[in-house]
Amino acid sequence: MDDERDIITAWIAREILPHEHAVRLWLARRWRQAVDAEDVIQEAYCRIAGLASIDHIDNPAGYFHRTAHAVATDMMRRAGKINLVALTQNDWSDVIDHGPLVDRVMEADQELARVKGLLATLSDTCRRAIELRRIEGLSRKETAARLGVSESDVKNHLVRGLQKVLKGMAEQDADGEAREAKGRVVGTSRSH
Amino acid sequence: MARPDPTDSIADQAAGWAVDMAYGDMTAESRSALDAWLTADPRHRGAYVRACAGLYAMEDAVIQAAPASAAAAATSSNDNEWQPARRSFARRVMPMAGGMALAASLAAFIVTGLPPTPPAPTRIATARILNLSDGSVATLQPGARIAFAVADGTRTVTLLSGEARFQVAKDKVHPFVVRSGDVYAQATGTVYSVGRVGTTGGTVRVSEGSVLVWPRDDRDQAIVLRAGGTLTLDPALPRPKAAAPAPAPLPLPALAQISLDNVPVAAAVARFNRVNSRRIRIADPAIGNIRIVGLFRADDPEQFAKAVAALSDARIEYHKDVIVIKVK
Repeated sequence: MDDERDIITAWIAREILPHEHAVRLWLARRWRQAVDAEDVIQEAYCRIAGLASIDHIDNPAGYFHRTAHAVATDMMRRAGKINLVALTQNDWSDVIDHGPLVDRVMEADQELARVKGLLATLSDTCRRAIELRRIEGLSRKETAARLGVSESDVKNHLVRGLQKVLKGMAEQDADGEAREAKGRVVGTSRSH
Repeated sequence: MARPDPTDSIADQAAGWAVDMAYGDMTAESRSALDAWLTADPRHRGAYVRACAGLYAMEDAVIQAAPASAAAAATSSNDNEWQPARRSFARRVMPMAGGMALAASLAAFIVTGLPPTPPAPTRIATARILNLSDGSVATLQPGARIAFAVADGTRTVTLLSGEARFQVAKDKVHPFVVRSGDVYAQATGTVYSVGRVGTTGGTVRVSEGSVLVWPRDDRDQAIVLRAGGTLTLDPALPRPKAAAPAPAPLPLPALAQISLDNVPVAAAVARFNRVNSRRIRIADPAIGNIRIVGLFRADDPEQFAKAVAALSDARIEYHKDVIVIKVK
C-alpha cells in the first residue's frame, strides 16, 4: 500500500507536475476568471493523489487536463454558477490528444525542459543538502555540519528552493494568455 | 522545528511541510501538527501533494546530476557508519492519516532512478527450486525446464517443457511474463503456475493475485485470471476453452494500442477489423504476407493502412466503411 502511494508521488513528480504549466494556461483560456486556477490545481492534485492505481493512465497529460476540467465544473456547480464555457468538440480533441506519439513526446520534452530549468536554479546549499541526505545518507546533524550551517538553515534552503520551484511552475509567463483572458468574466449567478 | 508561517501562501506553507516531513525530525507531534494543517482547509491536501511531488522532482534532478564519483564514494567507502546509499529513500516517513502517506521510498526510486537491468544471459535450468535473479522463485515440476532473461524492462520466463510454479517478486515496473509456446501469462506480484500443452499451448493456474493471459499477438485481448482460476489456451486450436471463474474482459485502455512485432500484415489487418467498424481489405495477397513492426492506435485503422501502404509501396482506396490497400 505504501509502495503504491510512493509510486504515485514519483509518478506525479515525473508525469503530472511537468504539465502543470500547460494545464494552468488551458484553465485560464477555458475558464477565464470564473474559477480560481490555484484552487482547481490544488484540488486536481488531491484527486490524483487519491488514485488507487495509475496503471490504467497511459496519457498523464490528458488525464491531468480532464481532472482539472472536472474540478472546475464541480466548483462552478457548487458555487451555483451556470457554466457558459461549454467545451466544444475542438477543445476536447485538444485535450484528449489524438496526436501521434512523436508530437506528444516533443511537447512533453518542452515541458520537462521548463521544469529542468527551474530545477537548475536551486542554490548550491540546497543541492548539496539533498546529495548529502539522499545519496550519502547523512543525518540532519551531519549534513548541517558538513555544510557549515545550522540545521534550520539547511531546512530553510530546502524550503526556499522548493517554494521557488513551485512558484515557477505556477507562473504564467509564456505567452501572456492569462493576462489576455483577464477582465472577461464568464459564468453567471443563478439567482438572477 | 519551526512550523511553516501561517501568513505565507498555501503553496509556500505546503513546501514547508513537505520539507519538514522529508528532512525534519519526525515526531508524533509534528505528524499530528501536519494532520491538523491538512484538515484545516480542503485546499491544503492538494497543495501538500503538489509540494511533495515538487520536492521529489528536486531530489530526482539533484541525484541524476550528482557526479558519478559522489555516488560511487557513497557506496564504496564504509569507514564510518553511514547508511548505504539510497537506503534513506526507503526511510522517508509516512506522515499522514487516511492512506495519504506520500513520501518517496525505495520502490519509487526504482521507478525513477535506476537504469533498466541490462539483459541477463539466458540460462537453461533443470533444478527443482530456482531463485531467479530478480528475487522471484520458480518451483519446477519433474521434467520442467525454463529459461529466464531480463530485457527491455520485462522479466521473461520461457517454459521449455513441463510445468512450473512462480512466486513473483513484486516489481510493478518490470512485468513478469511466462511464455508457454504461444501462450503468455503476465503478473506483477503474485503466485501462479504454468504448464505446457502441446507445442503451442499452456495451462495457467493462479494461486494468488491475478494474471493476464493472452495468446501470441493478441495482447489486447488478454484475459484476467484471478486467484483460483485456471485457463488452458492452445492457439493451435480454434477457440480457447475457459475453465473456472468467468474470465473478465480487460478494461478498455488496454485496447487503445495494437502493438505489432514482426507480424504478417494479413494477421494485423484481422486484428484491426475485429475492433473497428471501418474495415481494411487487402486487394493483393502478397501485401498480406509482408511483415510489419510498430505500435498503432487500435481505433485508427487509417493510420495503420497508410503505414502498410508505405511499407509495401501500395496505394489506398477509400470506399464506404472500407479501406482497400492495392498494389500500385
